[in-house]
Amino acid sequence: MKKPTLHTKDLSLSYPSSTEKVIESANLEVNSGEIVLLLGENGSGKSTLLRGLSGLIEIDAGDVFLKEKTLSNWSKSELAREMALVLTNKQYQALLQVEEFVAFGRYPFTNWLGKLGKEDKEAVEESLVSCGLASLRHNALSDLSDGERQKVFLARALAQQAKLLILDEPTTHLDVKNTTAQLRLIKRLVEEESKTVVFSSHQFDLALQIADKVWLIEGNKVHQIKTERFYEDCIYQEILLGDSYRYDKQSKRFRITL
Amino acid sequence: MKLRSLSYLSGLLLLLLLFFLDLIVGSANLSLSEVWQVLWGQAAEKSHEIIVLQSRLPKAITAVLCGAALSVSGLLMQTLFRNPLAGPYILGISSGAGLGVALLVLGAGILGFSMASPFGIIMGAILGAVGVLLILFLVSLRIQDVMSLLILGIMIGSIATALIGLMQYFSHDFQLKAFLIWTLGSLEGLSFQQLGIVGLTVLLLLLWAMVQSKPMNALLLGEEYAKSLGVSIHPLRLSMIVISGGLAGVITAFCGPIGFVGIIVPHLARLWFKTTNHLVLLPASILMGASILLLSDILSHLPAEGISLPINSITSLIGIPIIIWIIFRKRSISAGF
Repeated sequence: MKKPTLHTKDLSLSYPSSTEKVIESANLEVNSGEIVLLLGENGSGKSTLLRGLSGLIEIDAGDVFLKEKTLSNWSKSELAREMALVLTNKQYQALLQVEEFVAFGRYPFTNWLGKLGKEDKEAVEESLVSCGLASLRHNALSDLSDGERQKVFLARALAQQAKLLILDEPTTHLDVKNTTAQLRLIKRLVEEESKTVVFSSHQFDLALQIADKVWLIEGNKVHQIKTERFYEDCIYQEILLGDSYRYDKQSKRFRITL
Repeated sequence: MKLRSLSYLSGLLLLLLLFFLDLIVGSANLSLSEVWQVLWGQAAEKSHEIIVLQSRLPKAITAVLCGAALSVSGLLMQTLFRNPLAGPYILGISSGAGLGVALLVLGAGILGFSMASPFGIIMGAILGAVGVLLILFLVSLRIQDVMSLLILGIMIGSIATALIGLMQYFSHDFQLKAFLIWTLGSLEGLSFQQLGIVGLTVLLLLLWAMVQSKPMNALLLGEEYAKSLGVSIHPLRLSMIVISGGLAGVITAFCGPIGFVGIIVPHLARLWFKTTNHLVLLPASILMGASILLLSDILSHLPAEGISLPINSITSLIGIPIIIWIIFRKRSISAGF
Protein backbone atom coordinates (compact mmCIF):
# COMPACT_ATOMS: atom_id res chain seq x y z
CA MET A 1 0.00 0.00 0.00
CA LYS A 2 1.11 3.51 -0.81
CA LYS A 3 2.04 5.60 2.17
CA PRO A 4 0.27 8.96 2.35
CA THR A 5 2.31 12.16 2.21
CA LEU A 6 0.10 13.79 4.79
CA HIS A 7 -2.63 12.30 6.91
CA THR A 8 -4.55 13.14 10.03
CA LYS A 9 -5.86 10.94 12.79
CA ASP A 10 -8.94 12.16 14.69
CA LEU A 11 -7.79 15.73 14.22
CA SER A 12 -9.69 18.37 16.21
CA LEU A 13 -9.05 22.08 15.90
CA SER A 14 -10.50 25.24 17.37
CA TYR A 15 -9.98 28.95 16.79
CA PRO A 16 -7.33 30.53 18.95
CA SER A 17 -8.75 31.72 22.29
CA SER A 18 -11.93 29.69 21.95
CA THR A 19 -12.86 26.18 22.96
CA GLU A 20 -15.52 25.65 20.33
CA LYS A 21 -14.43 22.92 17.94
CA VAL A 22 -14.17 24.09 14.35
CA ILE A 23 -13.01 20.72 13.10
CA GLU A 24 -13.68 17.52 14.99
CA SER A 25 -12.14 14.06 14.55
CA ALA A 26 -11.08 14.56 10.96
CA ASN A 27 -9.40 11.58 9.31
CA LEU A 28 -7.93 12.84 6.07
CA GLU A 29 -5.29 11.63 3.70
CA VAL A 30 -3.25 13.11 0.88
CA ASN A 31 -1.13 10.85 -1.25
CA SER A 32 1.95 11.90 -3.10
CA GLY A 33 1.08 13.48 -6.44
CA GLU A 34 -2.50 14.23 -5.49
CA ILE A 35 -4.36 17.52 -5.70
CA VAL A 36 -6.86 17.99 -2.89
CA LEU A 37 -9.43 20.76 -3.06
CA LEU A 38 -10.76 22.00 0.26
CA LEU A 39 -14.30 23.33 0.02
CA GLY A 40 -16.58 24.90 2.56
CA GLU A 41 -18.64 28.00 3.20
CA ASN A 42 -17.19 31.24 4.47
CA GLY A 43 -16.21 30.80 8.08
CA SER A 44 -16.49 27.00 7.94
CA GLY A 45 -12.89 26.56 9.08
CA LYS A 46 -10.95 26.05 5.85
CA SER A 47 -8.11 28.30 6.91
CA THR A 48 -8.08 26.82 10.39
CA LEU A 49 -7.79 23.32 8.94
CA LEU A 50 -4.95 24.37 6.63
CA ARG A 51 -3.16 26.10 9.51
CA GLY A 52 -3.57 22.98 11.61
CA LEU A 53 -2.17 20.81 8.83
CA SER A 54 0.85 23.05 8.45
CA GLY A 55 1.63 23.27 12.14
CA LEU A 56 0.92 26.97 12.51
CA ILE A 57 -1.65 26.50 15.25
CA GLU A 58 -1.92 24.16 18.20
CA ILE A 59 -3.89 20.99 17.68
CA ASP A 60 -6.68 20.29 20.18
CA ALA A 61 -6.70 16.55 19.79
CA GLY A 62 -5.52 13.90 17.37
CA ASP A 63 -2.47 14.15 15.17
CA VAL A 64 -1.16 15.31 11.85
CA PHE A 65 1.38 13.05 10.18
CA LEU A 66 3.77 14.16 7.48
CA LYS A 67 5.36 11.11 5.90
CA GLU A 68 4.26 8.95 8.84
CA LYS A 69 5.93 11.25 11.36
CA THR A 70 3.85 13.56 13.56
CA LEU A 71 4.35 17.23 12.80
CA SER A 72 5.69 17.96 16.27
CA ASN A 73 8.54 15.52 15.65
CA TRP A 74 9.76 17.47 12.65
CA SER A 75 12.34 20.14 13.31
CA LYS A 76 11.28 23.57 12.07
CA SER A 77 13.91 23.78 9.37
CA GLU A 78 13.26 20.24 8.12
CA LEU A 79 9.57 20.98 7.94
CA ALA A 80 10.23 24.15 5.93
CA ARG A 81 11.94 22.03 3.28
CA GLU A 82 8.99 19.63 3.07
CA MET A 83 6.05 22.01 3.11
CA ALA A 84 5.45 25.49 1.67
CA LEU A 85 2.47 27.72 2.31
CA VAL A 86 0.39 30.46 0.77
CA LEU A 87 -1.85 32.04 3.39
CA THR A 88 -4.84 34.35 3.15
CA ASN A 89 -3.15 36.73 5.54
CA LYS A 90 -1.60 39.10 3.01
CA GLN A 91 0.73 41.27 5.01
CA TYR A 92 3.64 42.44 3.00
CA GLN A 93 6.44 44.94 3.15
CA ALA A 94 5.70 47.60 0.58
CA LEU A 95 9.38 48.34 -0.08
CA LEU A 96 10.23 44.75 -0.98
CA GLN A 97 10.81 43.98 -4.62
CA VAL A 98 9.18 40.93 -6.20
CA GLU A 99 12.48 39.14 -6.58
CA GLU A 100 13.52 39.82 -2.97
CA PHE A 101 10.17 38.62 -1.71
CA VAL A 102 10.34 35.40 -3.72
CA ALA A 103 13.89 34.88 -2.47
CA PHE A 104 12.51 34.57 1.07
CA GLY A 105 11.45 31.10 -0.04
CA ARG A 106 15.13 30.17 0.10
CA TYR A 107 15.29 30.93 3.81
CA PRO A 108 15.58 27.28 4.93
CA PHE A 109 18.51 26.71 2.58
CA THR A 110 20.72 29.77 3.06
CA ASN A 111 23.47 30.34 5.62
CA TRP A 112 23.08 32.51 8.73
CA LEU A 113 23.54 35.68 6.72
CA GLY A 114 20.83 34.63 4.30
CA LYS A 115 23.20 34.90 1.34
CA LEU A 116 21.80 33.39 -1.85
CA GLY A 117 23.98 30.80 -3.54
CA LYS A 118 23.89 29.70 -7.17
CA GLU A 119 21.23 27.06 -6.55
CA ASP A 120 19.12 29.52 -4.61
CA LYS A 121 19.23 32.06 -7.41
CA GLU A 122 18.25 29.38 -9.92
CA ALA A 123 15.29 28.32 -7.78
CA VAL A 124 14.11 31.93 -7.48
CA GLU A 125 14.50 32.47 -11.22
CA GLU A 126 12.62 29.29 -12.00
CA SER A 127 9.65 30.15 -9.83
CA LEU A 128 9.54 33.71 -11.16
CA VAL A 129 9.34 32.35 -14.69
CA SER A 130 6.78 29.65 -13.78
CA CYS A 131 4.46 32.25 -12.30
CA GLY A 132 4.93 34.66 -15.17
CA LEU A 133 6.61 37.28 -13.03
CA ALA A 134 9.96 37.60 -14.78
CA SER A 135 9.15 41.04 -16.15
CA LEU A 136 7.95 42.34 -12.78
CA ARG A 137 10.96 41.20 -10.78
CA HIS A 138 12.16 44.68 -9.82
CA ASN A 139 8.74 46.11 -9.02
CA ALA A 140 7.94 46.91 -5.42
CA LEU A 141 5.15 44.79 -3.97
CA SER A 142 3.09 47.93 -3.35
CA ASP A 143 3.12 48.73 -7.09
CA LEU A 144 1.46 45.45 -8.06
CA SER A 145 -2.21 44.68 -8.49
CA ASP A 146 -3.85 42.29 -6.04
CA GLY A 147 -3.82 39.61 -8.69
CA GLU A 148 -0.14 40.04 -9.47
CA ARG A 149 0.68 39.97 -5.78
CA GLN A 150 -1.24 36.71 -5.48
CA LYS A 151 1.12 35.20 -8.04
CA VAL A 152 4.10 36.54 -6.10
CA PHE A 153 2.90 34.72 -2.98
CA LEU A 154 2.70 31.46 -4.92
CA ALA A 155 6.13 32.09 -6.44
CA ARG A 156 7.62 32.52 -2.98
CA ALA A 157 6.17 29.17 -1.93
CA LEU A 158 7.52 27.52 -5.08
CA ALA A 159 11.00 28.89 -4.43
CA GLN A 160 10.97 26.88 -1.23
CA GLN A 161 11.08 23.77 -3.44
CA ALA A 162 9.00 21.78 -1.00
CA LYS A 163 7.15 18.72 -2.27
CA LEU A 164 3.97 19.56 -0.40
CA LEU A 165 2.19 22.84 -1.11
CA ILE A 166 -0.59 24.07 1.15
CA LEU A 167 -2.36 26.94 -0.54
CA ASP A 168 -5.12 28.92 1.13
CA GLU A 169 -7.18 30.49 -1.66
CA PRO A 170 -4.38 30.90 -4.20
CA THR A 171 -6.88 32.19 -6.77
CA THR A 172 -8.50 35.08 -4.87
CA HIS A 173 -8.22 38.42 -6.64
CA LEU A 174 -7.47 36.69 -9.94
CA ASP A 175 -9.63 37.13 -13.03
CA VAL A 176 -10.77 34.07 -14.98
CA LYS A 177 -7.75 34.12 -17.25
CA ASN A 178 -5.32 34.30 -14.38
CA THR A 179 -7.28 31.85 -12.24
CA THR A 180 -7.14 29.22 -14.95
CA ALA A 181 -3.46 29.97 -15.52
CA GLN A 182 -2.79 29.55 -11.80
CA LEU A 183 -4.76 26.27 -11.69
CA ARG A 184 -2.94 25.01 -14.76
CA LEU A 185 0.34 25.86 -13.12
CA ILE A 186 -0.68 23.84 -10.03
CA LYS A 187 -1.60 20.88 -12.24
CA ARG A 188 1.67 21.16 -14.15
CA LEU A 189 3.68 21.29 -10.93
CA VAL A 190 2.04 18.09 -9.77
CA GLU A 191 2.59 16.31 -13.06
CA GLU A 192 6.09 17.50 -13.91
CA GLU A 193 7.66 18.07 -10.54
CA SER A 194 5.68 15.46 -8.58
CA LYS A 195 4.39 18.01 -6.10
CA THR A 196 1.45 17.34 -3.83
CA VAL A 197 -1.08 20.11 -3.33
CA VAL A 198 -3.81 20.87 -0.84
CA PHE A 199 -5.67 24.06 -1.68
CA SER A 200 -8.87 25.89 -0.93
CA SER A 201 -10.81 28.00 -3.40
CA HIS A 202 -14.18 29.62 -3.76
CA GLN A 203 -14.01 29.24 -7.53
CA PHE A 204 -14.95 25.63 -6.98
CA ASP A 205 -16.21 24.90 -10.50
CA LEU A 206 -12.84 25.75 -12.00
CA ALA A 207 -10.82 24.30 -9.15
CA LEU A 208 -12.70 20.97 -9.28
CA GLN A 209 -11.34 20.42 -12.77
CA ILE A 210 -7.84 19.84 -11.51
CA ALA A 211 -8.69 18.17 -8.18
CA ASP A 212 -8.34 14.45 -7.53
CA LYS A 213 -10.06 14.62 -4.21
CA VAL A 214 -12.36 16.96 -2.35
CA TRP A 215 -12.43 17.74 1.34
CA LEU A 216 -15.80 19.23 2.12
CA ILE A 217 -16.48 20.86 5.45
CA GLU A 218 -19.96 20.39 6.87
CA GLY A 219 -20.41 21.78 10.37
CA ASN A 220 -17.30 20.55 12.16
CA LYS A 221 -16.99 17.38 10.07
CA VAL A 222 -14.84 17.02 6.99
CA HIS A 223 -15.99 14.70 4.20
CA GLN A 224 -13.25 13.21 2.08
CA ILE A 225 -14.55 12.21 -1.34
CA LYS A 226 -13.30 11.58 -4.85
CA THR A 227 -13.97 14.52 -7.16
CA GLU A 228 -16.37 12.41 -9.26
CA ARG A 229 -18.50 11.79 -6.20
CA PHE A 230 -18.95 15.53 -5.78
CA TYR A 231 -20.28 15.77 -9.32
CA GLU A 232 -22.52 12.74 -8.94
CA ASP A 233 -23.93 13.14 -5.47
CA CYS A 234 -26.41 15.89 -4.79
CA ILE A 235 -25.92 15.52 -1.03
CA TYR A 236 -22.43 16.95 -1.27
CA GLN A 237 -23.46 19.73 -3.63
CA GLU A 238 -26.23 20.65 -1.22
CA ILE A 239 -23.68 21.15 1.58
CA LEU A 240 -21.60 23.59 -0.40
CA LEU A 241 -24.15 25.18 -2.69
CA GLY A 242 -27.50 25.02 -0.92
CA ASP A 243 -30.44 24.18 -3.15
CA SER A 244 -30.06 26.78 -5.84
CA TYR A 245 -27.02 25.51 -7.76
CA ARG A 246 -26.53 22.00 -9.12
CA TYR A 247 -24.31 20.06 -11.47
CA ASP A 248 -26.13 19.16 -14.60
CA LYS A 249 -24.78 15.87 -15.93
CA GLN A 250 -26.12 16.39 -19.43
CA SER A 251 -24.52 19.75 -20.08
CA LYS A 252 -21.61 18.97 -17.73
CA ARG A 253 -21.81 22.26 -15.92
CA PHE A 254 -23.18 23.82 -12.80
CA ARG A 255 -26.52 25.50 -13.33
CA ILE A 256 -28.84 27.60 -11.25
CA THR A 257 -31.92 25.52 -10.40
CA LEU A 258 -34.97 27.42 -11.50
CA MET B 1 25.70 46.97 -4.95
CA LYS B 2 28.19 49.62 -5.90
CA LEU B 3 25.69 52.28 -4.92
CA ARG B 4 25.32 50.67 -1.53
CA SER B 5 29.06 50.72 -0.80
CA LEU B 6 29.04 54.36 -1.84
CA SER B 7 26.24 55.05 0.64
CA TYR B 8 28.17 53.30 3.39
CA LEU B 9 31.32 55.23 2.52
CA SER B 10 29.59 58.60 2.51
CA GLY B 11 27.85 57.71 5.78
CA LEU B 12 31.18 56.83 7.34
CA LEU B 13 32.85 60.02 6.10
CA LEU B 14 29.99 62.10 7.45
CA LEU B 15 30.31 60.36 10.80
CA LEU B 16 34.07 61.05 10.97
CA LEU B 17 33.58 64.67 9.99
CA LEU B 18 30.91 65.22 12.64
CA PHE B 19 33.01 63.41 15.22
CA PHE B 20 35.89 65.77 14.56
CA LEU B 21 33.63 68.83 14.58
CA ASP B 22 32.18 67.67 17.89
CA LEU B 23 35.70 67.76 19.35
CA ILE B 24 36.13 71.36 18.24
CA VAL B 25 32.94 72.89 19.65
CA GLY B 26 32.54 73.27 23.38
CA SER B 27 32.68 75.73 26.22
CA ALA B 28 36.38 76.53 25.82
CA ASN B 29 37.36 77.98 22.49
CA LEU B 30 39.80 75.68 20.73
CA SER B 31 40.81 76.05 17.11
CA LEU B 32 40.77 73.28 14.55
CA SER B 33 44.55 73.06 14.51
CA GLU B 34 44.80 72.95 18.29
CA VAL B 35 42.44 69.97 18.44
CA TRP B 36 44.31 68.36 15.56
CA GLN B 37 47.60 68.74 17.46
CA VAL B 38 46.13 67.12 20.56
CA LEU B 39 44.88 64.17 18.53
CA TRP B 40 48.38 63.61 17.15
CA GLY B 41 49.90 63.90 20.61
CA GLN B 42 51.56 67.28 19.96
CA ALA B 43 49.43 69.51 22.12
CA ALA B 44 50.80 73.04 22.52
CA GLU B 45 49.30 73.39 25.99
CA LYS B 46 48.51 70.85 28.66
CA SER B 47 45.06 72.41 29.17
CA HIS B 48 44.14 71.70 25.55
CA GLU B 49 45.01 68.08 26.05
CA ILE B 50 42.88 67.86 29.18
CA ILE B 51 39.89 69.52 27.53
CA VAL B 52 39.98 67.40 24.42
CA LEU B 53 40.93 64.04 25.90
CA GLN B 54 39.21 64.18 29.28
CA SER B 55 36.03 65.97 28.34
CA ARG B 56 35.29 66.17 24.65
CA LEU B 57 36.52 62.79 23.48
CA PRO B 58 34.41 60.86 26.02
CA LYS B 59 31.46 63.08 25.14
CA ALA B 60 31.84 62.40 21.40
CA ILE B 61 32.24 58.67 22.01
CA THR B 62 29.15 58.75 24.22
CA ALA B 63 27.25 60.46 21.41
CA VAL B 64 28.29 57.76 18.94
CA LEU B 65 27.31 54.92 21.29
CA CYS B 66 24.09 56.63 22.23
CA GLY B 67 23.00 57.28 18.64
CA ALA B 68 23.92 53.79 17.47
CA ALA B 69 22.24 52.03 20.40
CA LEU B 70 18.99 53.99 20.31
CA SER B 71 18.65 53.69 16.53
CA VAL B 72 19.15 49.93 16.52
CA SER B 73 16.82 49.62 19.48
CA GLY B 74 14.16 51.52 17.56
CA LEU B 75 14.69 49.48 14.40
CA LEU B 76 14.13 46.24 16.30
CA MET B 77 10.96 47.54 17.94
CA GLN B 78 9.59 48.71 14.58
CA THR B 79 10.24 45.31 13.08
CA LEU B 80 8.85 43.40 16.06
CA PHE B 81 5.64 45.42 16.27
CA ARG B 82 5.38 46.14 12.54
CA ASN B 83 4.72 49.70 13.59
CA PRO B 84 6.47 52.72 12.08
CA LEU B 85 6.06 54.77 15.24
CA ALA B 86 7.61 52.23 17.56
CA GLY B 87 10.85 53.34 19.16
CA PRO B 88 13.27 52.31 21.89
CA TYR B 89 10.97 53.67 24.59
CA ILE B 90 7.71 52.20 23.31
CA LEU B 91 7.74 49.45 25.92
CA GLY B 92 8.22 51.81 28.83
CA ILE B 93 11.97 51.37 29.29
CA SER B 94 12.62 55.09 29.76
CA SER B 95 9.67 55.51 32.10
CA GLY B 96 10.99 52.58 34.10
CA ALA B 97 14.43 54.15 34.26
CA GLY B 98 12.79 57.47 35.17
CA LEU B 99 10.87 55.78 37.96
CA GLY B 100 14.10 54.27 39.28
CA VAL B 101 15.77 57.67 39.29
CA ALA B 102 12.71 59.31 40.81
CA LEU B 103 12.57 56.70 43.58
CA LEU B 104 16.19 57.33 44.50
CA VAL B 105 16.27 61.09 44.03
CA LEU B 106 12.75 62.12 45.01
CA GLY B 107 11.66 59.14 47.09
CA ALA B 108 14.74 59.26 49.27
CA GLY B 109 14.22 63.01 49.61
CA ILE B 110 10.65 62.55 50.80
CA LEU B 111 11.92 60.07 53.38
CA GLY B 112 14.42 62.65 54.53
CA PHE B 113 17.80 61.72 53.08
CA SER B 114 19.51 62.52 49.80
CA MET B 115 20.75 60.17 47.13
CA ALA B 116 20.94 62.58 44.24
CA SER B 117 24.58 61.73 43.46
CA PRO B 118 25.49 60.90 39.86
CA PHE B 119 26.18 57.32 40.94
CA GLY B 120 22.81 57.08 42.68
CA ILE B 121 21.07 58.37 39.58
CA ILE B 122 22.78 55.84 37.31
CA MET B 123 21.99 52.98 39.69
CA GLY B 124 18.37 54.08 39.95
CA ALA B 125 18.02 54.26 36.18
CA ILE B 126 19.63 50.86 35.67
CA LEU B 127 17.39 49.24 38.27
CA GLY B 128 14.30 50.87 36.79
CA ALA B 129 15.13 49.90 33.21
CA VAL B 130 16.10 46.34 34.16
CA GLY B 131 12.92 46.05 36.23
CA VAL B 132 10.69 46.97 33.30
CA LEU B 133 12.71 44.74 30.98
CA LEU B 134 12.31 41.83 33.38
CA ILE B 135 8.54 42.32 33.63
CA LEU B 136 8.29 42.47 29.82
CA PHE B 137 10.46 39.38 29.47
CA LEU B 138 8.38 37.37 31.92
CA VAL B 139 5.12 38.54 30.38
CA SER B 140 6.25 37.76 26.83
CA LEU B 141 7.06 34.22 27.94
CA ARG B 142 3.33 33.78 28.44
CA ILE B 143 1.61 36.24 26.09
CA GLN B 144 1.72 35.14 22.46
CA ASP B 145 0.26 38.24 20.86
CA VAL B 146 2.68 41.12 20.14
CA MET B 147 -0.04 43.72 20.18
CA SER B 148 -1.06 42.76 23.72
CA LEU B 149 2.59 43.07 24.65
CA LEU B 150 2.77 46.53 23.09
CA ILE B 151 -0.29 47.73 25.00
CA LEU B 152 1.11 46.26 28.19
CA GLY B 153 4.42 48.07 27.67
CA ILE B 154 2.61 51.36 27.17
CA MET B 155 0.59 50.70 30.34
CA ILE B 156 3.74 50.00 32.37
CA GLY B 157 5.17 53.27 31.08
CA SER B 158 2.02 55.17 32.05
CA ILE B 159 1.99 53.72 35.56
CA ALA B 160 5.64 54.66 36.00
CA THR B 161 4.94 58.18 34.77
CA ALA B 162 1.98 58.49 37.16
CA LEU B 163 4.10 57.37 40.10
CA ILE B 164 6.82 59.85 39.11
CA GLY B 165 4.17 62.59 39.07
CA LEU B 166 3.04 61.65 42.58
CA MET B 167 6.58 61.78 43.90
CA GLN B 168 7.25 65.10 42.20
CA TYR B 169 4.22 66.54 43.96
CA PHE B 170 5.67 65.72 47.37
CA SER B 171 9.26 66.72 46.61
CA HIS B 172 11.41 69.72 47.38
CA ASP B 173 12.61 72.14 44.74
CA PHE B 174 16.24 71.08 44.73
CA GLN B 175 15.35 67.38 44.36
CA LEU B 176 12.93 68.22 41.59
CA LYS B 177 15.68 70.07 39.79
CA ALA B 178 18.07 67.13 40.11
CA PHE B 179 15.42 64.86 38.63
CA LEU B 180 14.45 67.29 35.87
CA ILE B 181 18.07 67.68 34.83
CA TRP B 182 18.26 63.91 34.39
CA THR B 183 15.18 63.97 32.14
CA LEU B 184 16.86 66.55 29.91
CA GLY B 185 19.51 64.05 28.95
CA SER B 186 23.24 64.60 28.89
CA LEU B 187 26.14 63.15 26.97
CA GLU B 188 28.66 64.64 29.34
CA GLY B 189 30.32 63.48 32.49
CA LEU B 190 30.93 59.83 31.73
CA SER B 191 34.25 58.53 33.04
CA PHE B 192 36.35 56.28 30.83
CA GLN B 193 35.44 53.40 33.09
CA GLN B 194 31.72 54.05 32.67
CA LEU B 195 32.29 54.54 28.97
CA GLY B 196 33.91 51.11 28.90
CA ILE B 197 30.86 49.50 30.50
CA VAL B 198 28.44 51.26 28.15
CA GLY B 199 30.63 50.60 25.11
CA LEU B 200 31.04 46.90 25.80
CA THR B 201 27.34 46.36 26.51
CA VAL B 202 26.28 48.26 23.41
CA LEU B 203 28.83 46.46 21.23
CA LEU B 204 27.73 43.01 22.41
CA LEU B 205 24.05 43.79 21.94
CA LEU B 206 24.70 45.25 18.46
CA LEU B 207 26.57 42.10 17.47
CA TRP B 208 23.74 39.98 18.80
CA ALA B 209 21.32 42.01 16.69
CA MET B 210 23.48 41.53 13.57
CA VAL B 211 23.46 37.76 14.07
CA GLN B 212 19.66 37.85 14.13
CA SER B 213 19.36 39.74 10.83
CA LYS B 214 18.16 36.76 8.83
CA PRO B 215 15.23 35.73 11.07
CA MET B 216 14.33 39.40 11.57
CA ASN B 217 14.05 39.76 7.80
CA ALA B 218 11.73 36.76 7.68
CA LEU B 219 9.62 38.37 10.39
CA LEU B 220 8.78 41.13 7.90
CA LEU B 221 6.61 38.58 6.04
CA GLY B 222 4.45 38.20 9.12
CA GLU B 223 4.80 35.72 11.95
CA GLU B 224 3.00 32.87 10.19
CA TYR B 225 5.12 32.95 7.06
CA ALA B 226 8.23 33.31 9.19
CA LYS B 227 7.18 30.23 11.14
CA SER B 228 6.54 28.30 7.93
CA LEU B 229 10.09 29.14 6.83
CA GLY B 230 11.50 27.58 9.97
CA VAL B 231 11.92 30.63 12.23
CA SER B 232 11.40 29.92 15.92
CA ILE B 233 9.22 32.94 16.63
CA HIS B 234 9.23 32.85 20.38
CA PRO B 235 12.99 32.83 21.07
CA LEU B 236 13.43 35.44 18.33
CA ARG B 237 10.88 37.73 19.92
CA LEU B 238 12.43 37.33 23.36
CA SER B 239 15.90 38.11 22.09
CA MET B 240 14.64 41.18 20.22
CA ILE B 241 13.05 42.49 23.41
CA VAL B 242 16.23 41.87 25.39
CA ILE B 243 18.49 43.48 22.77
CA SER B 244 16.26 46.48 22.23
CA GLY B 245 15.45 46.95 25.91
CA GLY B 246 19.07 46.44 26.90
CA LEU B 247 20.33 49.04 24.43
CA ALA B 248 17.71 51.60 25.44
CA GLY B 249 18.18 50.78 29.12
CA VAL B 250 21.95 51.18 29.27
CA ILE B 251 21.86 54.46 27.34
CA THR B 252 19.00 55.88 29.38
CA ALA B 253 20.75 54.90 32.59
CA PHE B 254 23.94 56.80 31.75
CA CYS B 255 22.64 59.64 29.57
CA GLY B 256 19.00 60.04 30.49
CA PRO B 257 16.10 59.71 28.07
CA ILE B 258 16.97 60.91 24.57
CA GLY B 259 13.96 61.22 22.35
CA PHE B 260 13.14 60.68 18.69
CA VAL B 261 16.52 59.43 17.45
CA GLY B 262 15.37 55.84 17.79
CA ILE B 263 12.15 56.41 15.87
CA ILE B 264 13.55 58.46 13.00
CA VAL B 265 16.86 56.88 12.16
CA PRO B 266 15.44 53.52 11.00
CA HIS B 267 13.18 55.43 8.59
CA LEU B 268 16.08 57.48 7.28
CA ALA B 269 18.10 54.29 6.83
CA ARG B 270 15.27 52.64 4.88
CA LEU B 271 14.89 55.74 2.71
CA TRP B 272 18.58 56.18 2.03
CA PHE B 273 19.49 52.55 1.44
CA LYS B 274 16.12 51.66 -0.14
CA THR B 275 15.87 48.30 1.51
CA THR B 276 14.24 46.48 4.39
CA ASN B 277 17.10 44.01 4.79
CA HIS B 278 18.34 44.16 8.37
CA LEU B 279 21.80 43.13 7.33
CA VAL B 280 22.00 46.55 5.60
CA LEU B 281 19.68 48.53 7.88
CA LEU B 282 21.57 47.67 11.07
CA PRO B 283 24.95 49.13 10.04
CA ALA B 284 23.13 51.96 8.27
CA SER B 285 21.18 52.79 11.44
CA ILE B 286 24.38 52.69 13.47
CA LEU B 287 26.11 55.14 11.12
CA MET B 288 23.18 57.51 10.81
CA GLY B 289 22.17 57.35 14.46
CA ALA B 290 25.69 58.17 15.60
CA SER B 291 25.87 61.05 13.11
CA ILE B 292 22.57 62.55 14.22
CA LEU B 293 23.54 62.46 17.88
CA LEU B 294 26.91 64.09 17.09
CA LEU B 295 25.10 66.75 15.08
CA SER B 296 22.67 67.33 17.94
CA ASP B 297 25.56 67.68 20.36
CA ILE B 298 27.34 70.17 18.08
CA LEU B 299 24.14 72.21 17.78
CA SER B 300 23.60 72.15 21.53
CA HIS B 301 26.94 73.95 21.95
CA LEU B 302 26.49 76.48 19.15
CA PRO B 303 24.14 79.17 20.54
CA ALA B 304 26.59 80.72 22.97
CA GLU B 305 30.00 80.02 24.38
CA GLY B 306 30.03 78.36 27.74
CA ILE B 307 26.57 76.85 27.71
CA SER B 308 25.20 73.64 26.27
CA LEU B 309 21.51 73.16 25.66
CA PRO B 310 19.81 69.97 26.90
CA ILE B 311 20.45 67.22 24.35
CA ASN B 312 16.97 65.71 24.69
CA SER B 313 15.39 68.95 23.46
CA ILE B 314 17.80 69.20 20.54
CA THR B 315 17.17 65.67 19.31
CA SER B 316 13.44 66.34 19.48
CA LEU B 317 13.82 69.66 17.66
CA ILE B 318 15.80 67.95 14.89
CA GLY B 319 13.77 64.78 14.98
CA ILE B 320 10.23 66.03 14.72
CA PRO B 321 10.75 68.04 11.49
CA ILE B 322 12.41 64.97 9.97
CA ILE B 323 9.39 62.80 10.81
CA ILE B 324 7.07 65.42 9.33
CA TRP B 325 9.25 65.62 6.24
CA ILE B 326 9.13 61.84 5.82
CA ILE B 327 5.34 61.83 6.14
CA PHE B 328 4.94 64.57 3.55
CA ARG B 329 7.48 63.15 1.17
CA LYS B 330 6.15 59.65 1.24
CA ARG B 331 2.53 60.61 1.91
CA SER B 332 2.50 57.88 4.49
CA ILE B 333 5.12 56.92 7.02
CA SER B 334 3.88 53.36 7.04
CA ALA B 335 4.80 52.78 3.41
CA GLY B 336 7.86 50.96 4.66
CA PHE B 337 5.68 48.39 6.35
